[in-house]
Amino acid sequence: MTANPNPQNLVQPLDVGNVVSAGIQLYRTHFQQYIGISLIATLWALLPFLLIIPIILFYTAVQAYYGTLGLVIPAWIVLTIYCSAKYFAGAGAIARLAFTTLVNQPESVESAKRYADFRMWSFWNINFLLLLMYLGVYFVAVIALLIVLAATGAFSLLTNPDPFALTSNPGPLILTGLFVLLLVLAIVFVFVWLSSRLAVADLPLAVESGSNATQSLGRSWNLTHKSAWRIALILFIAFLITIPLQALAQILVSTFDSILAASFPRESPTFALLSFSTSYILGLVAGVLVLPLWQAIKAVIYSDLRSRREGLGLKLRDS
Amino acid sequence: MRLFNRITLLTPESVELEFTLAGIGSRALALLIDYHIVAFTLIALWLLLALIAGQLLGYLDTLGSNYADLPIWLLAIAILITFVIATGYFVFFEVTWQGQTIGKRFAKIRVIRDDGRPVGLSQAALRALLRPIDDILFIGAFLILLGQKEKRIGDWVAGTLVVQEVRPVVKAAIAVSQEAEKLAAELPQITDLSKLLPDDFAVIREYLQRRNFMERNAKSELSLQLARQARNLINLETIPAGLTSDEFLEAVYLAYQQQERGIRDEG
Repeated sequence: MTANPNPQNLVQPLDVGNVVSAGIQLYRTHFQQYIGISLIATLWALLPFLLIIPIILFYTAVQAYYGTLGLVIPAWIVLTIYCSAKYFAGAGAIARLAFTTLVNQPESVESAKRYADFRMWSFWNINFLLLLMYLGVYFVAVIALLIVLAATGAFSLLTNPDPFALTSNPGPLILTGLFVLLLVLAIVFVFVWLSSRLAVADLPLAVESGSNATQSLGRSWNLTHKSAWRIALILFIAFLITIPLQALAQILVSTFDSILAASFPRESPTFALLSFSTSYILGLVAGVLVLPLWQAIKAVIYSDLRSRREGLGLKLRDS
Repeated sequence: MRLFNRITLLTPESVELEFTLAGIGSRALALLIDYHIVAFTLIALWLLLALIAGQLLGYLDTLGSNYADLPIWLLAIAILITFVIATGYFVFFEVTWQGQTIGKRFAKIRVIRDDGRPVGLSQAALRALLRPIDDILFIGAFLILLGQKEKRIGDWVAGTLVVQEVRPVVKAAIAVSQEAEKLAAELPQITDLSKLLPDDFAVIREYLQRRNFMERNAKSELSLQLARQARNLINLETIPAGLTSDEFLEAVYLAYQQQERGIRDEG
C-alpha cells in the first residue's frame, strides 16, 4: 500500500441516512451481480412449494397409495431444509460481495458463491436459531398477554359483555385497555430491539473465515451493543424506501387485474388462475429485488459497526 | 468505490465547489421527522379548533341567532390554516435556517441553489408547493433514487440541490495522560516527526477520538498495531518502557500537533 485512501472518507462512521444510501448505491452499482444470485437463491426457496402442486395432483388423481405419504412427506421436509440452506447461502454470498466491495477488496461472484455454498449449513443453522429465538419471544409475549388478560378479568368482560355494567362502571375496562396497550408496546419494543441486535447475524459467517453459526450470532450481538436503536432506525428508513417499490407492484397487479376483468368474467376459474399467477410472479419478482437490498444494507451496517467498535479501516502506512 | 454521488458547482464568482449529495436515506429520514412534526402540530391545532368551534356554536345557540353558514366557514378556515402550516413549515425553516428544516438538521443535510448559494423564499416556496405532487405515487422518491443529481420535481423547478452538510472537523477533546505529555515533550528530540504525514496524523486522531466506543479486545489489538506502525514511521527503536500503546499514540498525537502549531506560528 503506497498511500492511505482518504481517511476522512473511509474510516468515519456513517450517519443513519448515509448507511441506507450507501447500501442502495452498492446495490445500484452491482445490480447485475446481486440480482443473478438473488434470482437463483429465490428459485431454490421456491422449489419445495412448486413440488407440492404435482404431489397434490397425483394423490387427488390416483386416490390411492396413501401409504407412500409416509415416505414422501419426510423426503419433502428434507428437500425443504436443503433448499432453504441454498437460499440462505445465496443471501450470504450477496452480503459477502457487498462487504468485500466496501473494504476495497472486491471478490468475484464465483468465489463469493463458493465461499457461501461451502458454509450453507452454517447459514441454515443461523437462520434456524434466529427462528427459534423469535418464536421463543413470541410465545413468551403471547403467554404474558394471556396472563394480563386473565388477571384483569378481561375474559369475563369479553365473554359476558354486560352493557349496563360497562356503562355504569367503565373504570376496569379502561384500565385493562391501557394495560394491554402498554404490554403490546413493550412486546413491539422487545421485538424491534432483538431484531436490531441480531440484524447482522449472518454477516460474520459470510465474511470472517473460521466463524461458525453460534459465533456469528454472538458477533452480531457484541457488535450491535450500544447501537441497537440506531440500527432500528436504519432498518426502518430502509423499509420506508421499499414502500414505493411495493406500491409499484401493487399498482401493476391491480392494473393487470382490471385488464383481466375486462376479458374474463370475475368468477371464472381462468380469471382466478391468471390473477393469482400474476400476483404470485410479481411477489416473486419483488422478493428477488428486495433480497439484495437488505443484504447490501446489512453489509454496510456491519462494516460501519466494525469501524465503530473495532476501528476497521484505521490503519497507518506500512513504512 | 464511490458510495455517495458528488457534484461540482460553479458559483457566480467562478469558484468551483464540490458537494456530496444528500442521498435517499438521509432525505427519507429528514422527511420522516418533518412529516411527524407537521402531523402532530396539525392534530393539536385541529383539536384546538374543534374545541373553539364547539364553544362558539354553543354560545351562538344560547343567543338563538341563525348561524347555519358558520360551520362551513370554520371548516374553510381550518383547511386554510392546515395548508399554511403544511407548506409554511418547510418554507419558514428552509429560509431562516439556511436550507434546513428540523428533520434536515437532524439528518445533517441542507438545501442549496444550483449555484451553491443559500435558498431564498421563492425556491423554498416552490419546493414546498410541489411537495404534494412529488408525494403522489412516490414520484419524488423514484426521481431521487434514479437521478444522477437526486432531484425531485420540486428541486428541478426551484433549481435546488440537497447536499450533505459540510461540517467542520469536530474538535472533540482527546484525553491525554501525564505520561504521554512527558513523552510528547521528548519525542521531537529523539525521533523524526516530519516522517508522519497529515493522513497518518488523521488516523491517529481518529483512533483517539473513537477509542472509547470500541470493544475492549478489538481496541487493545488495534492500539498495539497502530502504535507499532507509528513507531516504524517515525523511526523509533522501541516504545519507551512502562508506556501503554495508547499512551504512546497520545504522545505522538500531541507532539505532532505541537510541532505543526510551531511551524504555523513561525510561518
